[in-house]
Amino acid sequence: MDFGINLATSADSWKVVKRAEELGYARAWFYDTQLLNADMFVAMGAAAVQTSRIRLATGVLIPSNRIAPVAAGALASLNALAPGRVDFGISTGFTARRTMGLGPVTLEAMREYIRIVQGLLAGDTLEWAFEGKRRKIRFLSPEIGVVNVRDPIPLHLSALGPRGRRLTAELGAGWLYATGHLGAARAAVADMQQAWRAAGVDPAGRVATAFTGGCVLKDGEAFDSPRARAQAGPHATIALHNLVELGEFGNMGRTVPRRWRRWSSAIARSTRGTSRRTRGTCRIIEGTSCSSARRSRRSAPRT
Amino acid sequence: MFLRPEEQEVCTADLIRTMTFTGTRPEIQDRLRELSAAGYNHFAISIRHGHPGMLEDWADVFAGV
Repeated sequence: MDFGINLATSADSWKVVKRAEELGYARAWFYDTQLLNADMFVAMGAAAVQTSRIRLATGVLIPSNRIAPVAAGALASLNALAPGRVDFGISTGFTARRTMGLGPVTLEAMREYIRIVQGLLAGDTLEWAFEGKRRKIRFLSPEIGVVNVRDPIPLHLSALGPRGRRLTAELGAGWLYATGHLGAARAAVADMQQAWRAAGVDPAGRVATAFTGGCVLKDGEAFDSPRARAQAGPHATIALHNLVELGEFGNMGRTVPRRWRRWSSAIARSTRGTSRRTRGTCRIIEGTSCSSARRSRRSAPRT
Repeated sequence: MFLRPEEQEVCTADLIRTMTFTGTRPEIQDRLRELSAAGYNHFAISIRHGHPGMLEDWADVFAGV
């Protein structure tokens, strides 16, 4: 197993990535969440020119954020700045979409997007549907060296559910799984490996990434210390946002412990048709988690 | 990216313990070994904006796996 970092992209993320490279990290993943973070490709470009070994990955690119030929051009440009160090991570969208009031793009739309991006990077001429017409497109002059389409750019899909994992296997891609819950992570990778094998892909030859948040506690530090909350809290609460937004956007696939699942249908009913995340979060506080929160504070283990 | 004020109340010790890789260095190293045994070959940890010291914390964890 090797180790990487994932970043809520900042314009100066290159500073963190450069230090990560010095410490031996293998890969840096950059979020593509336009209303919360800095632009992913701008930050990756800066990181590309400030580093020499660490891999730079879209983590993950959301298809609706830019048309496929633009994504292909951006990846090929990065690949010119960081030859052979670029990874193309993609998913149907969580924060990038929900912050604009949108659910995920369809798997079918993502599959077509990947076909265009990978086809262009391979130097193919392909048919692309845009603004109601199909047109033939290709990179017109890759040989002059303004971009790099020679070095491969591996594909990785973030797939939290079985249909996404089937698509990942069908495309022979690497896989990301956003987790923090060990039981769910075990079940997911077992399913992914089965899907790869069914598609004739050797799992040993594919990158299987556990993508998570957390905090290294100091001796005696509580799980809900201010430092732990700051470092691990944003990842922890995503599962609750997913519960709150079930009725509006469907299930992103982030598994929560069984003791919380019984709340999900009630929360989904109570928030169906609403569009206010805060309203849903407040319902959790008022209706369920508040008592759990008080219990947890009392019983927070000391390590 | 960060917790909003209204999220502080629901971000409990139980939630953090269950849904994230939080623990002491040996505890996290054990969990990483379990992930590796399950079939993961890459692990990516979120480095929070404004918390660059996390890089060293986690590098120490990884060095022992």
